[in-house]
Amino acid sequence: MTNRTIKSWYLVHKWTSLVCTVFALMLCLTGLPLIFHDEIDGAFAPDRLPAMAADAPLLPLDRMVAAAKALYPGERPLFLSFDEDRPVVNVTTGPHALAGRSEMHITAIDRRTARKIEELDEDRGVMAFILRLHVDMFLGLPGKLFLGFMGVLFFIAIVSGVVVYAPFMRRLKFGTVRVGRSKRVKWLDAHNMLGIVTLMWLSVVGLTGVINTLAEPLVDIWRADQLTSLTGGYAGKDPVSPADFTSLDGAVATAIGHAPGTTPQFVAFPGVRFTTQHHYAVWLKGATPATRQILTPALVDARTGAFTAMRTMPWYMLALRLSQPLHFGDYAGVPLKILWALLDLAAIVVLGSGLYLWLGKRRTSIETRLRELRRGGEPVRGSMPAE
Amino acid sequence: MIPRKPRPGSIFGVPALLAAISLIGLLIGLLGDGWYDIVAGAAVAVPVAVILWSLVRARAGRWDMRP
Repeated sequence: MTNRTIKSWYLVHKWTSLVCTVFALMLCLTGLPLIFHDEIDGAFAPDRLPAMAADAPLLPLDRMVAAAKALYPGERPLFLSFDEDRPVVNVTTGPHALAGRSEMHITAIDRRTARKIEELDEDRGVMAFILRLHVDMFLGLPGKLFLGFMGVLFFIAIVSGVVVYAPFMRRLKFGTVRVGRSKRVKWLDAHNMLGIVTLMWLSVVGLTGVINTLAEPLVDIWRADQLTSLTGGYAGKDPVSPADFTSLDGAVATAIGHAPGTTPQFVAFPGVRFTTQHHYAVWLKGATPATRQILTPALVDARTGAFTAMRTMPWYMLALRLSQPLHFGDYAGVPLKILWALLDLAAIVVLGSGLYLWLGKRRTSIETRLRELRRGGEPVRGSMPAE
Repeated sequence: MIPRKPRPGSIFGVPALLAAISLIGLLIGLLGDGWYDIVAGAAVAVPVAVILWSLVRARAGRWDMRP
């Protein structure tokens, strides 16, 4: 590499890092408790599910919907989702099909008794605050897209960091962290070592985070692109009114019948964002962590209960779905979560040390900095006094 | 000092290996439960172990010794 190439990459590393560091630090700090979201929620909210025989029969889904409607008169069902590890469904109701989150009620209902267990309120509590800060800084879609852009800068900072790692390490062994020189050399070494070791994890978590910020636009594209083409015959027909919805149990059974080996994850009632005006969309999932993420919507006519269409997700929806576990680290038990937390801490040190290195020598010329880089952090006599 | 020719192979050898192990671990965990999760955890633990190794050596001042 010529000096000019090193200089360009060094400047790319410096500026992309400087712009995204504050946000990346915020994301790492808020992300740390979010890794253990389920565990923390579980510890503070004890399971209110009454104990019953393990083989207690499950009541029809229509009873669950009726129970939710009885709780909130005047509301209509929007979604019904299935809990993974207990006989519970969560029924979302609202005043109209496109109700916002503040107008909705999400009720967890026991499938064995059709009784309400609790109302889910995801918008309260410390964890919800941390989550919003992490996801969009309370700014909605613009906040998400902004953080997504910071994620792109973060990835460019990683790539350029790898490039300038080469001249720095020319005379050093892999893993070197010299503690006996100056404070600056120590942190420079630590920054390089931690950065290069966590390179892949940082890239994967960063880029999947970027993809997650695009969730809303991607769902809209998918809806416009695929859903309408699947149900072309329904164009111009009047929307099905909630009073005319056919049996949900029949619709779910029809859907599973067309995709053996899958289980339903959630059902979108006609009119909501994840289906058409005329269909139950039964979102089916597979049995492994990867195919569990691959949801296949089966569309069932909400008036007649007839099967209409099913199509696997397009590649961009698949990328979105797979980006979630890869970003959260929640797909291989608690050991992986602990590793996620440790790597997150390493990322915080990389970001913090990067900031420290920049703050420490702000008045130094770029030439001196490049010399420092090429000499592997060894002080250059006369121009860089030891600290 | 005599300028030595940079050898990217020796600089990026270990990092490339670590990146490959990390990526394989991250993806294997998605394929299934049980053994898949154990392999995933073990692979993702490798970079963490390397960090510990480097820091333990640093504490002992081993990186400051001249070869």
